[in-house]
Amino acid sequence: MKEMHAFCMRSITIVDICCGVRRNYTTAIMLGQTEQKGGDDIMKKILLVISMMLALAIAAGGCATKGDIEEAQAREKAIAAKADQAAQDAQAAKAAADEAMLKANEAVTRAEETEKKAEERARIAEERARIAEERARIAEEKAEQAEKAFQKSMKK
Amino acid sequence: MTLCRIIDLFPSSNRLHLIILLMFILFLPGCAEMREFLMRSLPPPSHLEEKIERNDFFVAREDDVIGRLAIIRLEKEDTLPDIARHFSLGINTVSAANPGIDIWVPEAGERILLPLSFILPDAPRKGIVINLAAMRLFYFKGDGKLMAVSTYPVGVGTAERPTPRGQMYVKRKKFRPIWYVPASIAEDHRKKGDPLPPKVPPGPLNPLGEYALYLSKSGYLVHGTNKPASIGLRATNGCIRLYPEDIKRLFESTAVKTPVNIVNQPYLVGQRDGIVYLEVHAPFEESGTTGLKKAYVKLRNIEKNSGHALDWKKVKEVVTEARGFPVPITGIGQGSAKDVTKTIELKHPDKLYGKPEIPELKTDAWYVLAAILRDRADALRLAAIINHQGPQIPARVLTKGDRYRVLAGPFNNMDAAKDAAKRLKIDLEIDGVLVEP
Repeated sequence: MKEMHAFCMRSITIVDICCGVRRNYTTAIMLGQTEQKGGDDIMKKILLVISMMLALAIAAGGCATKGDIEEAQAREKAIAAKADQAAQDAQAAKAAADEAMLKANEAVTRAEETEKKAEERARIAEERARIAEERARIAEEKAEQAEKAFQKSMKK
Repeated sequence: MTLCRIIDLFPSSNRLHLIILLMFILFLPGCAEMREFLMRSLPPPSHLEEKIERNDFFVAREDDVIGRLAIIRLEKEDTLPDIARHFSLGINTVSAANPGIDIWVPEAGERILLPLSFILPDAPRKGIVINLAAMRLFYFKGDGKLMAVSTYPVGVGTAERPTPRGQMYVKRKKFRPIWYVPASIAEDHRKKGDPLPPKVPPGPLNPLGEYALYLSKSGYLVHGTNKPASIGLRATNGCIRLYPEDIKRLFESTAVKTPVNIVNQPYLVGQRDGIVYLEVHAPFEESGTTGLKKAYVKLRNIEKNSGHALDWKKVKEVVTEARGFPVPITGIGQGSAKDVTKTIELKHPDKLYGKPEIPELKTDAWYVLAAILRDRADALRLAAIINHQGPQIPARVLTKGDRYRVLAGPFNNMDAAKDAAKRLKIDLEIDGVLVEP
């Protein structure tokens, strides 16, 4: 029973050590027992084993499983695909933007040409109106001259 | 019985079809398109008047306005002088009433206002009264409440040789008068290279025409003309000219000693049926503005005495436009629209009285090539002017390629052609080319 108690107390100490709490000394004081050299060796071995087991467990816990790897690879692929898609989308968007820009430029050019043509047409129309006005004036003058000549011819 | 038999021939179902068809036909004129089609295809509507008073009117003593306005649609080859003569109007009034219309080459289909309404001159209504500005003669007969008045358009003296104004009378009358050429006119003709004989016997070359009323003011006559297109122009040496058909009527109805009062009133104010009218003619350059001031005074008095406001904006407009026919200027709300004499639309006569006729082309005749022109309207105008010379020189337009040739003729011989060419040169400054048969 004593041994059992001692073992338990030591285990607690080991656990405490493993937890990084330096309570072994205090615990040992509390138990009021003097450690013997032989007991220490066993203790060391047990500690070693436990430490190794813990390290192994920790190592085993930190090591990824195949599923994890596959999952990660799938995620990676998906992300890569998304990235590719995004890149493609961006490229397409850029191309569309370029095309839109081109079209806009063309539209502007066309608008400018239309404006130029409109201006030209307006100028031609103005010129024609001026010519028509001039012709009308000449025709009016001719009619007036004819009328004057007629009126003169109506005298005795 | 026959109708019943015809109807019986149709079975009942066919009768129904017939009724539907009849209803459809009856509805068709209601359709706007159909109505337009019918309007186009049918002869002019019967409401177009065929005749209108031109010369003879009755006027109540308290009224000053006679006649009514009319509208006529021009036809191809009409000229305003021809329209004017047919309706016994002067070319001055027709052209003033229709500004912007080409006198010689108007568009066919154009509607022309015939100013056959006149305000009587502000002068005693006795004998002959001539208003120079309106270029119109009024002959008053009778002195009762309702007077007869005959009116004719006239040609008057130029600015250089104006018609004298004032009171005179008919000293003598002469059928087929001889024209004794006044020295001043003989000198003018000599300068133009067209020397005149001392006297011109009756005939087509006599500018007095067939009838003359010699006025008490020496040297001045009311006479006919061999240049009918000059009526409504300032083209005489002070005499008064009438259309040949008008002087004939005036001559026949005028007795020697008939008083003649010559006035110059471009601004005429008158009333008819309680409506006030204003008639404005373009005043002669030498007339000044006295007449306008007098007209305004008269209008203000009418407004004051009647207590009804006049439309002064309209007055201003009428004065500015000077369109030569009476325009109502009574203010809004006074007098009703029905009191204003309605303008009527006249049917175009089949033939215009006095319109110069152009003989057919003959291969064995002489011609004078008056001009080769690029513009059709110019060519038509020139041909019309030549046609309206007195005596007439027949002329037509012949098209060749893009040019229009104005050809005067036909003339029976070389002398006639030469004479026409000389007249073209002297009167119209045209260098014609003789064209042999």
